[in-house]
Amino acid sequence: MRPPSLLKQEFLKKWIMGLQRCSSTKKNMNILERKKAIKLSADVAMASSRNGTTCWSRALIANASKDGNDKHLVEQILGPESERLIVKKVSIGALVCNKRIRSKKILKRSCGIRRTRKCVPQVALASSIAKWLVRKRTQVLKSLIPGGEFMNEVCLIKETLDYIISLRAQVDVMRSLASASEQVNHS
Amino acid sequence: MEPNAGTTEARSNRTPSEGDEVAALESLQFTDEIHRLISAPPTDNASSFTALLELRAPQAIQLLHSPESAKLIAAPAPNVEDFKGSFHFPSNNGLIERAARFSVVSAEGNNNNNKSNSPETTSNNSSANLLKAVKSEPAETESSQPLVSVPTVEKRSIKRKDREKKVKGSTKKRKTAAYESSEDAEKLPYVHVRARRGQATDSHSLAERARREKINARMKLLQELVPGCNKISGTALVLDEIINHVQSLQRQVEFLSMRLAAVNPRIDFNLDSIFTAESGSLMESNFPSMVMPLMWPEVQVNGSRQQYQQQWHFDALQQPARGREEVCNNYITPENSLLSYDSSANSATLHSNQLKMEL
Repeated sequence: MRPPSLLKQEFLKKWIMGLQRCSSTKKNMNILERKKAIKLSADVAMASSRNGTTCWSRALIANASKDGNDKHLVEQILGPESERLIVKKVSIGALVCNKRIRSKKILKRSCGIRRTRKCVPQVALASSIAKWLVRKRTQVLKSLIPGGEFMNEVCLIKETLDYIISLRAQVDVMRSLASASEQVNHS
Repeated sequence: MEPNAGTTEARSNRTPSEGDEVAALESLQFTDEIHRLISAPPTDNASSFTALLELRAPQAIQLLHSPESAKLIAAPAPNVEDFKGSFHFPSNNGLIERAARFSVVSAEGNNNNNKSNSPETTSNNSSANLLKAVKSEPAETESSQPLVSVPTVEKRSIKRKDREKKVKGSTKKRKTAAYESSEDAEKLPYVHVRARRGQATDSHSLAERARREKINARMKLLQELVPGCNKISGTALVLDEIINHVQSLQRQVEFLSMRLAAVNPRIDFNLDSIFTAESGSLMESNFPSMVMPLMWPEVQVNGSRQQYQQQWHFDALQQPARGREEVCNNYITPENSLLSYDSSANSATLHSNQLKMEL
């Protein structure tokens, strides 16, 4: 695990580069477009700092590349060669994950008939209530983490750990840049 | 000598079914080997166990049962003789093992807390070391720390003892248990499984239990990472806190990007201008320390902005005359400093470099 300052430096460098490429392509963006571009380049920079080692980073870049508008931005930010590597991994991962999701859905549908009675927790057992609660929370967590629906529990927790650390670094850098820019503008 | 004599007696008392003479003979033969093995360095537990396992399987279990317990367990001798008293051990050793593991983890975290200077990076450092602890978890048992090795050895002996208790019967079952134990000894870096009394020992439940323990270990790390989760017990509530934390972080990213979009009409942030402006709060934050090493790459990146020079060229000529009191043109200041950086190449770079050195 790299020290956080190195992580922040790398993130900042990639982010600024991405922003400059964004601004070179489009002039006169309104505030919402700007905000989207800033957020997108920040997220992609954060994800690319992981170099495809974590699942959430690959999923994030995949989601960003799916949207046609942002795809070329993502490509520019990542750089040509690394983008190919990540996209390859992402496409393979996406294929596998889609298959997994489809098979899971089929399973759920087939078992759904049996399960409809049990979806409400029975009051009798405290342990079953606890399990149901944990299941609900896990589903929410899966929806939060990019690419979380494809992971089993073990991977999910590991990815959450990494994601929280990256998000914290991202927030720190963005906050300091924002306050510094505001200082410059108000002084 | 005395505990070994006691164990041999106990062993011979406890296994009447095997034939007293045979058992006594075997036990006498193996005491010598036990002496040799016990005199081996206690830290090198893995090799001593495999050495034990080279012996024939059923006798290996008997050996493991009494001498290891006599050597390692601080409980007094009656526990060795009292067969049934040993069922207290799993709970004690479970606590010992968990405490050892988390003391290792927290010790690493504490060490780095003491070492690091800035308070805000301590959490990141401890989290980084916690992650290191997670990744080195497979190698935990091989570490030379006595704190960790003793509980794991105890745990191993307890595991075998429990298995032996359940398979007291035919030799065939004993052999399978021994094979399981030998397999686990080889895979010990990866499988930390405790077979409690009354629980099944087949491979499925073992694997499931190993998975459960992995998940619980990672949940502990998450608890320590997310602030305010330490005092909460119960998976659902901890997950609640984690979800709240992730959501708040994501919302913060949104707000900050909105803020940044509002600050500049153009979204290229010129770090050079941020440095040239004199602001006290910048010095306090660690922003300069982060950004200072990035100055040099900026030189190459700014070269891509040549195309915008022509429009602002006249402003660039005026910029050195303005000085820093000029506040009104928010739009132009970042651009001008950027372009003066580009246009008047050498002198501007020298000047800006001097400013950076000062900062």
